[in-house]
This record gives sequence, structure tokens and C-alpha cells, in this order.
Amino acid sequence: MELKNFPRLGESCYFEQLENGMPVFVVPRPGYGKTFACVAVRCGGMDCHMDGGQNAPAGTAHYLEHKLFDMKDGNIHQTMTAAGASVNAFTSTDITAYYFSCTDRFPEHLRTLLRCVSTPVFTPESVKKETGIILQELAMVSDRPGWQRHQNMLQGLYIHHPIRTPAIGDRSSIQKITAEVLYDFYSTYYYPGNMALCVAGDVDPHQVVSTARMILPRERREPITRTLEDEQRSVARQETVTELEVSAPEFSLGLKLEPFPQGKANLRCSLLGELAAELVCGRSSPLYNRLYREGLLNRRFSLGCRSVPGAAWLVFGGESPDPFRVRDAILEEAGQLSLGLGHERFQQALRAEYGASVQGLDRFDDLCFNLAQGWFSGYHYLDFGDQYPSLTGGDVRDFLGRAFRPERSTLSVTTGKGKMKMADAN
Amino acid sequence: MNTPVRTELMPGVWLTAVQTRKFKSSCWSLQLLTPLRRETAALDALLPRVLCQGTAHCPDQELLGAALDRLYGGVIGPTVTRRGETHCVGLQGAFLDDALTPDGAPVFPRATELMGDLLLRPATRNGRLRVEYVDGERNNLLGEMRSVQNDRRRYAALRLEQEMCREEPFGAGCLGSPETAAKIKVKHLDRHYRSLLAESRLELYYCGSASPEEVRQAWTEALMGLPRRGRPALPETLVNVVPETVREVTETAAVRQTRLALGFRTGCGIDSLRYPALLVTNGLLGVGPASRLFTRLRERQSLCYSVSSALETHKGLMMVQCGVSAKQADAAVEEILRQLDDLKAGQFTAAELEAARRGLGHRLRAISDSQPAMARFWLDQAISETPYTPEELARLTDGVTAEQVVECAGHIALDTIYRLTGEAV
Repeated sequence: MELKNFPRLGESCYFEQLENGMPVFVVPRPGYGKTFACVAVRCGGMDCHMDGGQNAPAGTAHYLEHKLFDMKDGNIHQTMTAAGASVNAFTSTDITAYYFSCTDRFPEHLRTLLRCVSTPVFTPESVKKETGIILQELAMVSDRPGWQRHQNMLQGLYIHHPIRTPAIGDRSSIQKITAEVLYDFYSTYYYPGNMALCVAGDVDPHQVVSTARMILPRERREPITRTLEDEQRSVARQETVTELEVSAPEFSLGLKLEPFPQGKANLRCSLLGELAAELVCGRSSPLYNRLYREGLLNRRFSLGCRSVPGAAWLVFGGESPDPFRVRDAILEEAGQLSLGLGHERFQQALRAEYGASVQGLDRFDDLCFNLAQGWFSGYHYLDFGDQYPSLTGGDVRDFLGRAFRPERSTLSVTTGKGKMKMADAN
Repeated sequence: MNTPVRTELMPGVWLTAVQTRKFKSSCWSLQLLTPLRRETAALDALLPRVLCQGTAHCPDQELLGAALDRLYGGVIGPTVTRRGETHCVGLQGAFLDDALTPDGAPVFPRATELMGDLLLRPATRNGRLRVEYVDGERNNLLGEMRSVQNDRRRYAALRLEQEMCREEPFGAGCLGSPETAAKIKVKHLDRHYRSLLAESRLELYYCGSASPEEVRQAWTEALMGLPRRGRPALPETLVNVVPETVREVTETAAVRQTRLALGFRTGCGIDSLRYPALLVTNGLLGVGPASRLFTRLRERQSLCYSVSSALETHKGLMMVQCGVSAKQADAAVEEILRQLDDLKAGQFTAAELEAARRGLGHRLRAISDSQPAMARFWLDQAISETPYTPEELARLTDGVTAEQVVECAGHIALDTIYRLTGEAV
């Protein structure tokens, strides 16, 4: 195995790519009782092509995630939990991940997880039974104003990109998913060359590799290529306002970026995006503090830079009595900063971003998901420690000038109808 | 992992210090412990928000933010939590550990100083907290109270507690009521601040690479000038309330999914001998995919996507939450109660019990690997005056027997059923 050290971060990482194409990352953490492991599959809500040529209904990747835990000898979710592990899975736009953490019997749990992702068992009865559960999950997320606002923002940003369709699917597409669809979908996306195994904890990295080699299929297939329609630079629409029962107007402001390239540049783009967003309206920025003082923003404000294959965007979200003024202020501030950004402010923001990223390594789940994400995007996540010092004020100014344009922005707002009243507690 | 060192720095000021090099971050917490009361809950909730607006040295958010940015993106935020009827009002900080600063500039001394400044030397005008900060944060607090309705799960939990504990201080909620919050003026908050400083028990916490002795010295310096009146006692929590009849409360809103929240009294607090058995009983009933609620309501009957039970350990409450379609709500309630009855009757298998113990053992043993989880655990222990470590508690739960579960379940009584349903129903 190859051992790579990241002395700045106090971190090291073992790596090996198996003969079947699967990469294995192990971050050793002596002194920890907990071990975390995830198998990430390069397949998510945006993927609908199947080997047979037919398209899968929206929500298939997510449905498959629910059913993959079924095995001939029972449900893995339950058996692993019963054996003391904490197990879960998620489906995002571009990734499906299956993961567990445990403080005991790691080798056994790892074997089970690997067996699970490489053994599809779907029966018509069990697939049918899941429909009711997933429809309840859809009802649950639909009742979250934040979820709707986010979906509206993505649909405002993109004209063609499949991110427009929620990963969970919709009421009618969910009901079209059958055992046969799941088998076809599984065989299209689930093979070692299209996956990554990432582990963090006090474990023997060689044992992790030999377990993976023993359990997973040997056959090597190259990762499937995603074909995406060309996306325009401009947004689908600049404003979306939805009335919902919420206490105060909430907004998500999206800024459409050029898709990030594969490789180290991908990591660099996302660090740069985060840094630029922080400088414009982060916690210590003059703009955030002015809007906060004026009552236009509060503590429930967040920002970030997100990317999936073929799409990248900045997002600013929160609660505000006047989201339109917040949007205008953000675009104007970015314009000003693109013309002049003080060296000291830049250095200070860079320092803060670096420190926050290093602290984030304490969260094993994020660390492992980031390693997988980095692999699929062509970089090593832990290289961020070396990337930060290479960012310059000029990079940020260029970025700001390109990204923060009205025609590349979309504002999704949910305004309150205010019918729901909290009953008096006393 | 080194065991925490507890010291009393001043009368009623306790420090828990954990020295470890395993984290990239270090964790600070400072909590004033005060009795939760309807009249003062909103004042308690508002105070740390106002304190976090600025210090005498860094009197606004921009300057404070810049100071934190220079400390490698350190964060200090206001926290208001409840441990039974103890209101914990304070600040929590996370910083890059000194071992990892690229230029070797230490973060630790400045971080402790900042925590102390925020508590004792806030931005003032004419010797009082600043009126614009009090007014601004009061409005934000009111907005936050209103926004609970946007999260159906939290809203259902809050309404259940309010109904269930309407005659107990616990029902005041963590943030207090909008009516009391709306009336707060600078003079009220300023007076409240001074009395909390002088009269509350103060719990300090640190976990990171600094030694307990360094931590003791740094905190002692940072808290120089803290007024103390006597040695404040810990607030008490009422645990043994027995419901006379089951209350049912139904409210409507524009929701697609009905949210059910069932509140139970367990009669068992965190300092009780039965506590390990209660943890296992709750786990067996509704924590995780091997639990009774998950396997029966979700996997066997496809009634719901999410269903679980959770404890408020200081007050001895257990709450089951579930999201179902309106027409299946009654069936879900019936099924939830049937599962609890099974536990009371001892109708569960040895394998189910073992699964609950293992799951719990894992969660307890993983506490020492997470900064926020450790800070929560040691505050629980300080308030309940129970001295065991996560590992010791895990060994106790490992040994819980079926008989103990049956005995423990026998004390669990349904108090209130809360439903939030769509308007069409």
C-alpha cells in the first residue's frame, strides 16, 4: 500500500487501487475507539441511464439505496445494528454512500458492508413494500420549507442539468420502480471500478485491503461516463417566489459557476469558491454585519460552494424580511471586492478557512465522504492543506468578477402565509 | 484518553479539563446553571446572544469575527440548553488545536481570554449592556421562536412538551415564551445578567492538548473579577410526576404528513439506579433500525419512514415521534403502544435485548471520539453529580437484564398524545 503523509494536517493516508479498479483509502487514527467506513458509489439522483438503453424512473438511485440492505439472510441494516454498529446510507445528486461506524468487531462489519454492496437481492414483494415508506419520506421532505426552496433554486439555476430533478423522485416516478428496474440499474452502476472504499480509525490498513479483495468481484470495468447536455451560462429564471406556511420569508440565492474541471483544479475551484463567498458575506465581513445590524439577516445564515459533474454554484441562504435587498447587496459587495480586496482581509479569511477545514477532519464521516468525492473528481482531498497557501488575492478578485453577475444568479424565496399560529404555552 | 480532571476554581465555579492530543480541534464551554422558570427562561435565552455581540476590546461582530478569524477560524457561539429543570446558559467555543497551527502561534491563551471577556467584559455603554444589541437580539430570538413551526418535527416536540409539562417549569421550553421575550428591556437583561454571574453555579470545560494545570491557570486569569455570592447550589428537577389521565391534543396546519408525538413519564432520572436499564429499554423500543418501532411500524407494516423514541434523561421523559399519513395515524398510535406493552410483558427476545445493549454500548463508547458529544456528556455528569465515564456507563448497560427492562418498562406511563395533521382531515 502507498502511504502518503500530510504533515501540516498531522494526517496520513494509506491508499491502494485494487485489481478490480476500486480505490481503498485508510486514514489511521490511533487512540480512537470508533472506526468509520463507507462505500461510495459514483451514482446518484442525476443518473438515469441503464445498460439496456432505457431510462430509469426518477428516484431509482435512492430507491436502490433503500433496498440494497436486503440480503437473502435478512436486512443488513438491522443485522449490523443488532451487532452494535451504527449503519446508514444516503443518496445525493452524484453519489450514493453506504456507511457504518462501530467500536467493536470492525472486520466483521466491514465484510458485511462489502457483501451487501456486491450482492443485489430484490424481490417484487420487498420492492413493492418499500413504496409506502419512500412516499412517506417524500411527504416528510416536502413538508420542509427549506427543501422546497432549495429545489426551486436548483431549477432556477439550471436549464438542462439533471440536478433539476430531486434525487428522491416524485410520487408517480417512485411508483414505477420495480425489482427489474433495480436490477438493471444496479448492473449499470454498481461495480468496484465505480466505487470507493474509505475508512478512518485505529485499524490495520492491510486488513482492510485484503478484506475488500476477498469479498468484491474481481472483474475490472472502467467507470461509466456521464453524458450531459450542454448547459447555458445564464440561469433558467432569476426569481422564484413560493407561498408556504412559514414564520418569515426565507431565501436561497444561487450563483451559477462554470462546471469544475476534473483533477486538482476541482479542489482548487471549490476552495476558492468557499473563500470568495466568505469574503463577500461571511461572519466577519462588513456586509454580513451591516445586514445583521439592519435586521436583514440573522444567525441562521449560511453560505457555501457546491459542485457535481457538469454543475457548480455558490449558495447563500437564510431568513430575511427582504431577500431581494440581501441579493442586491451581495452582488454589489462582490462587485466592489472584485475591484479592490485588501491584503490583510484576504490573509485573515484564508487563515480562517484553513483552520475550519483542518478542524473538520475530526468528523470521520465528512472526512471519508470527502475522500470519496475527491477520488471521483480526480484529486486527493487531503491535498487541501497544500492548496490553500497557493490561493492569491488576484484569484479571488477574478472569481468574484466572473461569478457574481445578476444574469447568473437565481433567488428562490418562500414567503409566509402566516396562518399557522403557535398556541400559547401558558 | 485521559480521564477528566475536576477542580473547583472559585466557590461554585467548577472546571472539567480533558487532556488529549487526538483531536485537530479543541473545545471550550462555559455554562451558567440556573433554575428553569417561566418568568426568566427568555431572559436566560437572550443573555448569551447579547454577550456574543462583542466585548469591551472587540465591541462589534466585525471586530470579534476578525479576532476569531486570526485564531484560525475559531468559533464561539451562544448556547442555551435544558437539563431537566436546569437551564444551562453559556458559550461554546471550538478552535484549531495548538499542535496544528501552521506558524506555531498558540491559539489556546487567546481563546480562553476571549471566552472570559465575552462573559465578564461585554460591550457596554454607560456601564450597561448595549441597547441596540439587546433590542436586535430580542427580535432575533422572537424570530427564532416563530421559526420552530417551519420544522414540523421540532414543532411537534415543542408542543408536546408544552402540553405535557404545562404545570411544571420544564414546560417553559428552552427559549421561554414570545410574550415574556417581547417585554424584555435593557434594564431587565442587565439586572438578570448580574444576578446570574453572582448567583449561578458555573461549569467550565476544556478538551484539547493543553494540560489541566495550564487550563486551570488560563481560566482563573480569564475569570478574574467574577463576582461570587456564596456557593450556589445546583437547581433541582421534578422527576416523579405521575399522569392521572392520558391527554390528547390535535392541531392542524398545511402539512402533507401527520406528525405524531407521544410523551411518556419514566419516573427515572439520570441519577437513578434504574437509569442504565432505562437507556436499554428506550433503545429496545425505538432507537435505530433493529428497534421494535422501526422493525414493526416501518419494516413490517410500511406505516412510516421515520419513527423513533428519545429520552430527556434529567427529567425522565420519553418521547416517541413518527410521521404517517393521516388515515394511518390511529393505527400507528395503537402499534406504538402495543410495542411498549410487549416490553412491559417481557415479550421480547434475548437477541433483541442484546441488539439494544450493543447499539447503546457503541453509542456510549463513541462519545470519547467526538468533541461535542464529550462536552455534552460531562455537563450531564456535572449536573447530575454522577461520576462515571462513558465507558463505565457502557459497562453498566452491557449488564442490564431482561428482568430489569421489564421492571423499568413497567414504570413508563403514557401522558400525552400530540397530533399535527393536515387541514383537510
